[in-house]
Amino acid sequence: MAAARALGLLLVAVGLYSAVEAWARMPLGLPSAPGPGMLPFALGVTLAALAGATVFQRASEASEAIDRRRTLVVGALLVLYPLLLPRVGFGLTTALVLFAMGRVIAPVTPGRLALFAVASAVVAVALFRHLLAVPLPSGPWGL
Amino acid sequence: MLDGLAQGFAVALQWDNLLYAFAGVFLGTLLGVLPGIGPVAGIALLLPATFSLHPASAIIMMAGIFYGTMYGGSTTSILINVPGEAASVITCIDGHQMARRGRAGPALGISAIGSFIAGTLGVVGLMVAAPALTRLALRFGPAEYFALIVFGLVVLAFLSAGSTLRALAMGTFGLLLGTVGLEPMSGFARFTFRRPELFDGIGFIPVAMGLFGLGEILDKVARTEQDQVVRGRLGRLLPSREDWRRSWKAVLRGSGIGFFCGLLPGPNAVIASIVSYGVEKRVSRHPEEFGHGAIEGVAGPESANNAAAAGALVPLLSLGIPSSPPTAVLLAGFLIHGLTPGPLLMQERPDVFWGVLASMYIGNAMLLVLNLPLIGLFVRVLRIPDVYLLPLVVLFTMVGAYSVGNSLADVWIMVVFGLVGFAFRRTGFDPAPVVLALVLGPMLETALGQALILSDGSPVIFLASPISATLLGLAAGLIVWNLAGGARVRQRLGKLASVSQGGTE
Amino acid sequence: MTLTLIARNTAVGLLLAALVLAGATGPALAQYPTKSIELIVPFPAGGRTDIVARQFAAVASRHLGQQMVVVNRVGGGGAVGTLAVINGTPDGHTLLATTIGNQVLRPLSAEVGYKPWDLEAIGQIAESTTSIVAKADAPWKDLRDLAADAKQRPNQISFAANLLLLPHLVTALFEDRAGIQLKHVPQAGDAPGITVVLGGHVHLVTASAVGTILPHVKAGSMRVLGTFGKQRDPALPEVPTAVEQGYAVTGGPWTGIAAPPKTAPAALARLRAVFATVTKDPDFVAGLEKLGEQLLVLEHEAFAARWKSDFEQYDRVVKAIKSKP
Repeated sequence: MAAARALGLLLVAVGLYSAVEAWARMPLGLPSAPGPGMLPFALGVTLAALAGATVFQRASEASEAIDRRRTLVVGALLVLYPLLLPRVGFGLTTALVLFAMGRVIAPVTPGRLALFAVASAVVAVALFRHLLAVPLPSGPWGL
Repeated sequence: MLDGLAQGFAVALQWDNLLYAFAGVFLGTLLGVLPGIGPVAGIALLLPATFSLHPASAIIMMAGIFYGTMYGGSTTSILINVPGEAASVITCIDGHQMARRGRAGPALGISAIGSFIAGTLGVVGLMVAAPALTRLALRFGPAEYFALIVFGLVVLAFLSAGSTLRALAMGTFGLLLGTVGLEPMSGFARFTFRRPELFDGIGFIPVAMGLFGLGEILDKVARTEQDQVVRGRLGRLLPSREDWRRSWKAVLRGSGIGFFCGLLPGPNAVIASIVSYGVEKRVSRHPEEFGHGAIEGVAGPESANNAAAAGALVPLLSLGIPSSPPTAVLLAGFLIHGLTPGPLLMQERPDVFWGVLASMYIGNAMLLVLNLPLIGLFVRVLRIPDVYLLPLVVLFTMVGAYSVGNSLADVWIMVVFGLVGFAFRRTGFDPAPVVLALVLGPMLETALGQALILSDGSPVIFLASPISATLLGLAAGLIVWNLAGGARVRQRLGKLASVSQGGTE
Repeated sequence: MTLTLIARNTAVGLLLAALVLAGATGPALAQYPTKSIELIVPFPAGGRTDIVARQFAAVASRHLGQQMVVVNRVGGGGAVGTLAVINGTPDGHTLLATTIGNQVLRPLSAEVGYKPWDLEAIGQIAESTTSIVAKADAPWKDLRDLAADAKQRPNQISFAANLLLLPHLVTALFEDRAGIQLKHVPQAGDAPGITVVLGGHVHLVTASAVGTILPHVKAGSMRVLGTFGKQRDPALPEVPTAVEQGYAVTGGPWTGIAAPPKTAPAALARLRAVFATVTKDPDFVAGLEKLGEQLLVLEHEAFAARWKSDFEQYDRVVKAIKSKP
């Protein structure tokens, strides 16, 4: 499966990067008195080797088709949430993201969805920020 | 001892203390259900509310919160695949699989019952053997720790239902992630890119919530509509006789393993759950079911982590030494009320000591009574249509990740690992070893460093201690056995499992 | 005639100016605080800094007329919370509960991007006593016994202490004064340190506060070899200080309150006044005693001066430690 191979190669890259970084920037020490770089170096090499081996593994199962659009949109929303959170505030971010997610998951009337999103945001603010005193960001409009 | 206990029950059964115990476990369960807000935050938040109470009452309430949140964490693991804390990660593996197959009720049920039994046995153990156990626990120094964690990692390496090669790669990746931060022996900054948020390393909770929770959500979103129907069946609400028959030994074994591991400082509950899972898989007659909803895979680890919670109170009550953040907050609670847990507590304030123990029995019973009827409610949560359920889960995970350290960085880590977790699932890489190795790795390195300092660089220290030598021997034995005999059987089972499953976890 | 005119105009002008200024600052003084105040604790909930901070916040709220709320912002050994306050709005509604660890020692041992004097001092609340403790059956009765033994076998007696934090640095100073070399075993705090000593794996632990070791001392399982305060700790009256034993080393972790740089002067003045009131409040003092903390109040100038002197003192120690192979 192409995706599996790609991920394997990515892990190889991560391993190599760590090993190189450790080699170049950290004191390695000796096996009997390991320095801070010894472990990341060893692990980086090991990861590159293991991940490399997986690239050559036979593909074990057939991949199913995925709904690309939905996945991409939800993925983008997940990234959007922490982006908006400090800029717009917890309440508004929650309402917006919840609404957008719902839209992409199933064909529910926008009105009902908006109600759900806003109600959830309100309850969440009351529960977390006020009752449990979690200092969630409030943005420029105090939301 | 018996009249101490009698005195303790006299204290614990007073109306107001019963009320506080109930309030504690109730609040604890609620808080535990909210991912990311575990025992630490729960007790810390409610600490001010307990200021005005009588010391024994305050401790009773805080202890109730402590193991109440342990229980709530398992609920989210089973229902939505989001582990409430490190010890619940293992529960996600088979627990959530059971939920996906319409067996959320029995999973929750066996978790509750197993936890009750384990917790009660743990309290008995505490009462009977606290001094002796403490002496045993003290014999674990850096070398012994190192050996124990190596053992845990080896068990972990062969735990996975899928390809061992991939599991090893995942474990290595987790260990590598664990090196981020200030190196414990020298303070050298590794992979921190000059950001103080990374000095303490990549947090386990955001990673776990991302890999498991968000990864699962993306997975669900990616699938087409058909899968929704499978979950529609409500199924049984309680474990069947067959379930119970398969699980009761797992519960007992898990209790023993958990209580013992709980005595030791550090991520004792994690190790307990890993070892319990490994043991259950080893002795089970249906090992191929593990990873796809084997009830023993829930019963064992759940009992283990509750027994570990009781075990963790042993060093706290008898030595005044907290072995983990939740017990540290509990210790602070003691101090604020002018109580010093430790060798003198039993002598100077027997009412508090025995009162707390007695109320733990009661608290465990209350938890059971509270949670069994709630199973129906919890299971119904799964029937909420995805269009509402999934966004709500996202909301909970975002708040949970933020509340770990009141920091946005943790939310980002979670999101990144959510995307990574999705990629892992789609390509047959099991995310569990990453998370578990992330927790164990740093402890491993610290223990190794300390041991080598003490022995001036000589590795003999690991063989000189009987505890350490035994554990390392067991680990070596496991490796040999798995590579030699287990491998072929495992491969065939693995192929069978992946074909029948038709996809990733 | 013109002089009187000028004089009168100047007088009127000055009077007007004074009125305007009074109008401007007056309401400002009366306004602070206008909303609840965040007291940021850069350490986890339940730790010593946290509970001292919560006591302070509870009492200060009464005197300020607005709620003071504790917010934990953990990470980087205190650096994350400290940075959050340094970069916070300097209007007096964000404060830092600070200790020597996050304010002085972290900048010395890691690149955190700030220095101790980047903050405005409000005042020091309490100080703890550092001590070197051994198991009860250890062969040393006090620091002099220890030094004598260590001279015979350098680098063999081990001590547990948090890496590059106060216990470690104070012990390094002691080693220097006594002319000995001990073996440092990094441990993540007092509690793990006590555990390894009780288990017989490490010889000594340098504890950062008396509260953590007191139960063991009273129970007879541990013995304090010496304390590093300027005077004997009231909870350990029979234990001589290092100074009394002939080693000129003093150092203890302090806890205090600080504010962002360039905080509005009106707010600062109010805070410092309230601080003085709170630290004299009998409820507050009683609460601190229950926690085993020693009230040792320093007004803001003395506190700020301390930051500089501590920094200089420990800078030398850290450099010496880092230069060892």
